[in-house]
Amino acid sequence: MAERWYSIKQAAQELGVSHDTIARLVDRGELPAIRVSERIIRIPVPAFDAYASGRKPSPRRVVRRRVDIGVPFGAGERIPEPEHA
Amino acid sequence: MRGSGEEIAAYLIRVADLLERYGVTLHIADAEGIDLLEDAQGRLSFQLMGALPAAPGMPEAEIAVRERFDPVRPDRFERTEYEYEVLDRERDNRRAFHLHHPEWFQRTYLVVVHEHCERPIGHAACDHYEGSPIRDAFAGVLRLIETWTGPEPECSALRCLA
Repeated sequence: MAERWYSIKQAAQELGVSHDTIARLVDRGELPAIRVSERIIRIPVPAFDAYASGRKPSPRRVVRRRVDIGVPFGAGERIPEPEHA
Repeated sequence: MRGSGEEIAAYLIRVADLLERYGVTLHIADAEGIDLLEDAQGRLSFQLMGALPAAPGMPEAEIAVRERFDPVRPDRFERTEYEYEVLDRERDNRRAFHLHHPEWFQRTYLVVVHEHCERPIGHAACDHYEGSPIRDAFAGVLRLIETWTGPEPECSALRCLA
């Protein structure tokens, strides 16, 4: 299985920058990361790759549509139908 | 999470941005908009689906983020249901964090939210596990990424509601 996350040290090595530079990018929210604890930070590899390649989120727009039934919730779960008096 | 229809649309775009920043490939063509559905009861709902990469030759992980908002007064909506899910096909497990049918769950288990844990996929030792509420879709996305980057889930360590 491929690696799923980098430590700050690994990310610094990958980008050829210092540990502090990566820590600053994470603190500023420029490099998405997961803070597992006060001292442990994981940088997901897909997030790192998106950052390193300079890939930006696609510009999006929202289309509001009227429908009879919206997004289904609880699909596949055993939830009894409400009882009608 | 609450807001006007316009605020929820802006929130939806920020959630999609966050998923992409974490490296999720969204199943939305760039030219298409993201659907915000308004049903016959005036409720708003959306669904964002995407994938996280896997090792070569392995199936990708599937990510889903769904939310529903009920109208509380004219052009004011409140989130009432959510589903955040990761189907990790490479490691063969599923984790899901849900709030739906709150009245039924409250009446049956005295809880509002619940979780799912399957390892392998399709094998659930318990239909519904105890969970913790998730504030909004941003926190939901982080929970999914944390799950995907973390160790394999220990379903037996969770508390079964049934």
